[in-house]
Amino acid sequence: MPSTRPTREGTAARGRRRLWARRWAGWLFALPALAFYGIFNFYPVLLSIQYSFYDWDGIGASTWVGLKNYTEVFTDSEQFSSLLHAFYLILFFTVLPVTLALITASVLRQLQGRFTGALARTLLFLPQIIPGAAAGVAWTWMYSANGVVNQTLRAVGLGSLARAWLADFDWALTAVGFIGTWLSTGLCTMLLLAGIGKIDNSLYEAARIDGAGPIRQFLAVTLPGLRNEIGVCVTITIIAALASFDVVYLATQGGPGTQTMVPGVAVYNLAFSDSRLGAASALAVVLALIVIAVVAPLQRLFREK
Amino acid sequence: MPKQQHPTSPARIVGRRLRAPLAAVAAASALATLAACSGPGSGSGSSADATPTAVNTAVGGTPATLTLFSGAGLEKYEQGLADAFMAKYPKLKLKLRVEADNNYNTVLPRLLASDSAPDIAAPNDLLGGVKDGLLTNLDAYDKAYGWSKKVPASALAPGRVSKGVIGSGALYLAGGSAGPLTGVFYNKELAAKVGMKTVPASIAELDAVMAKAKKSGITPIVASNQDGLIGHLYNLLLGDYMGAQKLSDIVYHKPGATLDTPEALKATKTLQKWIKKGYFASDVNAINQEASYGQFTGGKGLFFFQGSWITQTIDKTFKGKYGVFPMPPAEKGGKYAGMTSNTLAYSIAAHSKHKDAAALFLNFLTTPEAAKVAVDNGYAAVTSDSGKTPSLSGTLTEQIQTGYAAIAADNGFDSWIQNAAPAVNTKLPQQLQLLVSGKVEPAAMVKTLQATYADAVKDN
Repeated sequence: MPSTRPTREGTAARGRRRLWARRWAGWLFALPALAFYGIFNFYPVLLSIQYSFYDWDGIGASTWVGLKNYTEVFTDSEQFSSLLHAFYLILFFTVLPVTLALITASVLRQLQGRFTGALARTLLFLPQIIPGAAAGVAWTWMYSANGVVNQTLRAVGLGSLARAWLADFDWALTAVGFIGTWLSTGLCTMLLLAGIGKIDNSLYEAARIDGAGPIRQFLAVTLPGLRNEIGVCVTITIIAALASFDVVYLATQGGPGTQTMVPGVAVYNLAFSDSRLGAASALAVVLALIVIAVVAPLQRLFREK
Repeated sequence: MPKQQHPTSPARIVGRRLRAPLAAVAAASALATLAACSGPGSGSGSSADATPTAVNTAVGGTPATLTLFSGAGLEKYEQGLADAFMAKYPKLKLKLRVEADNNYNTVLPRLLASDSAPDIAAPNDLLGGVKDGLLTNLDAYDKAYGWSKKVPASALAPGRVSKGVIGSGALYLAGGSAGPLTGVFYNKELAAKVGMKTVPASIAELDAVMAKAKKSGITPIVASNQDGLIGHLYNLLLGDYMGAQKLSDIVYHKPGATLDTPEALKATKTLQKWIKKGYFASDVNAINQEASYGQFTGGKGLFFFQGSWITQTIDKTFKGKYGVFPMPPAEKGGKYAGMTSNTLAYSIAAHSKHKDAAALFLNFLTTPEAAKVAVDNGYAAVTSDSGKTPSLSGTLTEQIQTGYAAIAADNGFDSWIQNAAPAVNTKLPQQLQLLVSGKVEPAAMVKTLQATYADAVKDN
């Protein structure tokens, strides 16, 4: 940009005024958006922080309880285990989808422009336009005792593995996790495909001339070229994993027992079923801090060098 | 790729110069909010009109529009009440505001606290509603209409609250007297198949029928436990072994009431035994109520421990193919016990602008016209049928009436332990799922539930 070169008049006062105008004019345009952000995002966050220090049923009088709600987050086994479950879900919401998406995107690159490529892209992106809540309901049917999943297992002779997946104490969380995989693989594939499209084709050509096979090309050209896009995928899906609510609430409501309880559902239960706004806010604040603590270092890691 | 970013690009300048002030503003406003000494919610004191004294009963001719907050499962029934009311008082309008059943309890208190509160509702957390000043004290209306004289005291007691305990004191929930029979629904065809010719007279006899069913490849119990609705059966067992009064004491927060008793343990062990014997479908933890309706009407099991409200939903496809009898007593010749709630009793919101007209509706609920709507929808009204004993013959409506009368004759009505406190309502389904999966033992489960209850009562 044309920066602070001295003006022809050269008077310091005028220069300062113009600088001032330039600096604040932008903010003026941003003001409406900032106001909305403040009212609907920033203010509620502050309120949540305030509530988290109170014992309050959401309607009547409240009492100050200091840090009691926060100690409960880490001493109450149900709340604490919900945090651990959220980290387990990262495996299914992030690690698996990004890996699958990398493979799929590389393969699809070869099919670009062809009809099969368009078809594959559409099919892959389909889960993305289905709301998580609807996916949760659909998958409860597929996972049920006589659902598609078990029918398939029986058809290939693995009937002994068939079970009511969402009711099984050992498998419920993993089953819920796979719904997340299904949901985010399409998004990641789309993002990575867009990224691959930006990589200069001559790089691939050069690699090929140097004798690099498909795997070598993937490692030397595709992967480094997608650094930014992978960063976006990882960030979005980790937040989706840690803050998951709709899929879990619709599929299991945190059950069986508290086997699939995640912070999102626990916050909802505390706030609206148990009428304990303070405890719910404390857990929500802790969750927000965890999300920031996990995501912030990743931004550094994936930033372009 | 463009790597060099101009050192004085706008983003950079703003970023560096404003980061510190923004953070300062954020921190300052956060502190200001926190330091504002009043906590949230303390100012909601519009309780001035929660206890009306001058009431008017001659409002039938004054046009007004009332709103009744209804749950989707009860819509047909409550619309029936509204229609009958409007037929009697053509000048008055009564509209339903329908909410999904699983949201009803969470939405209602917030709605009652809002400016657009419905006039009439049936709150499940009566104590919380009274504590927060959301419900109208009905004593003046009771006096004006004489409800205490014409409605059985036992039907009004669950609507009285005094110092955080239900059962006596000021009236907050009133109307007529009718309620569901919570008992044992059975598939007639399968019952004939296993040779059930009479109503089981004890838990042991019920067990024997189920064992026989299991042996002949019929699932003895249809249930849903993704939503913890095995709780109906669990509550019936609790009432049987503890006695209706002891169970009600817990729900009503009577001082000293506890679940940590040998009787409650015995009830829990009985349920565990039935789980271990395979009386439930193996995926019962993944089944929700709707799916369980489908299984029962689809002939997938013999018994269905539920309340007679289900007739409103499943009668369409299964009429005449199922019947009901009350939960047998623990021992032969013992006392019947079962949960019910007065479905002809409602509260008036403290924020209602038409309290007099709403009270006229509550008074309408004491009339035979209202009782007829209740009976038509699968509820039982207190009548003079109590001479009959439960049997496997007769129509479903007759079976519901006689079953209800049998429990009434034994003074055996109690309530769902979930209603004791919202936290118990959250905890019980989890514990029942653990019990089904063999992840908790009965003794530990009873102790957990008692701890949750004690914790919730202490807060009040």
